[in-house]
Amino acid sequence: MKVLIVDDERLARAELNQLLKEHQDIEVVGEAKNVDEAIEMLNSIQVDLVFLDIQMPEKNGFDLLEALPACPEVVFVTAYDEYAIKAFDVNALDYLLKPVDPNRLKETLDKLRNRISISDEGVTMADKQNRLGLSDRIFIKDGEKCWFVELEKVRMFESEGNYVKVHFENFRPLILRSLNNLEERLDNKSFFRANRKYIINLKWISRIENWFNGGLQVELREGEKVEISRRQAIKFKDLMSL
Amino acid sequence: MKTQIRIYWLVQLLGWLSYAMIIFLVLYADNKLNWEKISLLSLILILGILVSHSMRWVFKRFNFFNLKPNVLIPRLFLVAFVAALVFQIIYSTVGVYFNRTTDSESLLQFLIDVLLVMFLFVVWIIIYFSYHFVRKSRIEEIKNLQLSDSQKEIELQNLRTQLNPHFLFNALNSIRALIDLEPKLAKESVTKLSNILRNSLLFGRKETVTIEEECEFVKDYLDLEKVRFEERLGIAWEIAPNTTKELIPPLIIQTMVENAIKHGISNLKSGGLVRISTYSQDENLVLEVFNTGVLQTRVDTGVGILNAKRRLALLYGEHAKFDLFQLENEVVARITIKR
Repeated sequence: MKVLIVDDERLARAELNQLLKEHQDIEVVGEAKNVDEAIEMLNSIQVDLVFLDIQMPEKNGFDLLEALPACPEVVFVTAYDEYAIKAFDVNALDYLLKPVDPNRLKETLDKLRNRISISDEGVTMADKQNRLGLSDRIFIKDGEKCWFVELEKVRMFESEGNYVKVHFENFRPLILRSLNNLEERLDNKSFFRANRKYIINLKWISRIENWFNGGLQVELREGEKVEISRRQAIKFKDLMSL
Repeated sequence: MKTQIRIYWLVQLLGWLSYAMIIFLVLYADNKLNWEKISLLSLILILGILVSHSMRWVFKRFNFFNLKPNVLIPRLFLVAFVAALVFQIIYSTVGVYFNRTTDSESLLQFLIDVLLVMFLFVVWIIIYFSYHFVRKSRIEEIKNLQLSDSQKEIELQNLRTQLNPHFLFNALNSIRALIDLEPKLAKESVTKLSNILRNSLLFGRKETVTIEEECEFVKDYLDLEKVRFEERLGIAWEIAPNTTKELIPPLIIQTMVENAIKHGISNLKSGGLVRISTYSQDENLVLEVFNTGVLQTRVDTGVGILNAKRRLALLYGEHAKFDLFQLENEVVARITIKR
C-alpha cells in the first residue's frame, strides 16, 4: 500500500514513518506538512491511503478532503480532537490518537487491508478517465457533520440554489457545488441527468412510467419519484435499450 | 471583653459624677448648698447608676442590639420612659422623707420631672448605643477585610499554578518522537520539562518574581515549543537591562507567550516570530509580547488572558492594565504596571 502522511509537525511525521517501517507492505511515498502540499502530491502520485492530521494551520484535514474530487482511504491521526471525530457516523472511518500506539496502528492497518482488497474489485476513478464510479467515495461536510459516502449508496443529487442536496440512506446533506459541475465528474453509465433539478443513480430505479409530453417518471427504491424531461427521456431510452 | 466592661463602668461613673458635679456647682453658685441638697444629689448619683445599669441589663436580656432601627427606637423610648418613672418615684418618695418642706407636689410637676429625667436617660442611651454600634461596625469591617484578603489569596493561588495541560501533552508527544530520532535532544528536552515543572511549583508559592527569573522560565518553555514547531517558531528577546530586577507576578509573561503561540504561530503555515520586550516608560513598567499574525476578533480570548487580567486586578487594582491589539502585521499583548 502506498501511503501519504499529512501533518504539520515534522516530529509527528517522522514518528509515524518510523512506526510504519514495521509493516512490510506499507510504503510511505510522501510527507506533506500542510494541505496545499498534500493536494499537490495527491495530484501527482498514486496513493492508496492517507494518514491525516486534523489540526493544521490555515487549512485543516477536512479542508483537504473537501478539496479532493474523490476521497482516498483516510486514517485520521489526531491529538485531542475527539469532537471532530464525533462528527462522523460510526464505522465511517478509522482514527488514531496521538501518540500513536503500535498495536492500535496494526489493528487499523489490518482493517484497511481487508477493505481495500474488497473495493479493488469495483470500478474506481482510475479506470474511468477521471470520472467518479459507483465504488468511489466522496467526503461530505455539512455544518458540524461529516460523511464518507460510497457513490453507489447515493440515490440522487438534487439542485438547491448554489448547493446540491445529496440523498443517501436517511441523510440529505448539502454540498457547495453546481449540478452541472457534478454531472461532468460523475460516470455517465451510472448517473443520469433526469432534468434541470436532478441527477439520479440508475441502480436505484425500481419503476418507470410514461408521463405527459413524452416524458417519463421513475420511482426510486426508497419511494422518491423523479420526472425525466422529454429531451432527456430520449437519451434515457437510448441508454437503457440494447 | 474585660476592657469593654472596664470602659463601661468608667464612663458610667464619670458621666453621673459630672452630672452631679454640674448640679453641685450650680447650687454652690446660687448659695443654696446645704446637707439636704447634698444628700439628694448623692441619691441622684446612686439612682442614676442603678437605673441606667438596669436598662443595660434589659438591653442585653432582650437582645436590643440586633433589632432594626424602626423596631429599636420606639422600644428605647419606652425603656427610657419606664426608667425615668422608676427613678422619679423612688426619688420623690425618698425626697419627701428627707425634705420635710416639700416642693409643689402636683401631678403635673411630677410628670415634668419624669420627662426631664427621661431626657437624661435618652442621652445615656444615645451614648451607649453609639459606642456599641461604632464598635460593632468596626469589628465587621475588619472581618470583611480579612475575608476578602484570604479569598484573594486563594484565588491568586489557583490562578498562578495553572500550567496548561495541552502544553504538557504536546511536549511529551514531541519528546516521545525524539527518543528514537534524536536521543540527545530528547534528554535535553526532558531536563527542560522538569525545570519547567519545578519552577511552576516554586512560582506557585510566590507572589512576585523578578523579570530575570520569569525570562529563564519562558526560555525553557520556548525551547520546548521550538522542538515541536522547529523553524516555524522564531524568537526574539528585547529585555531592557534596567528592568531585569523588577518584580512581576509569576508566569505572566509565560501566559502571554503561550497565547502568542496558540493563537498566532500555530495557525500560520510558515510560522512567525514571537518577540518579548520589557522596558520602563516614565513611572510605568511595560511588558510586551508580539507575534506575527492577525488578531482574531472572536470573544473567547481564552482562559489565559482572562486569568492574567484577573491576577493583575487582584494584585494591582487600578494600577495595572492589559491590552491586546493589532500593530501592522503583529498582534501585541501589553501589560502596563504603574510603579
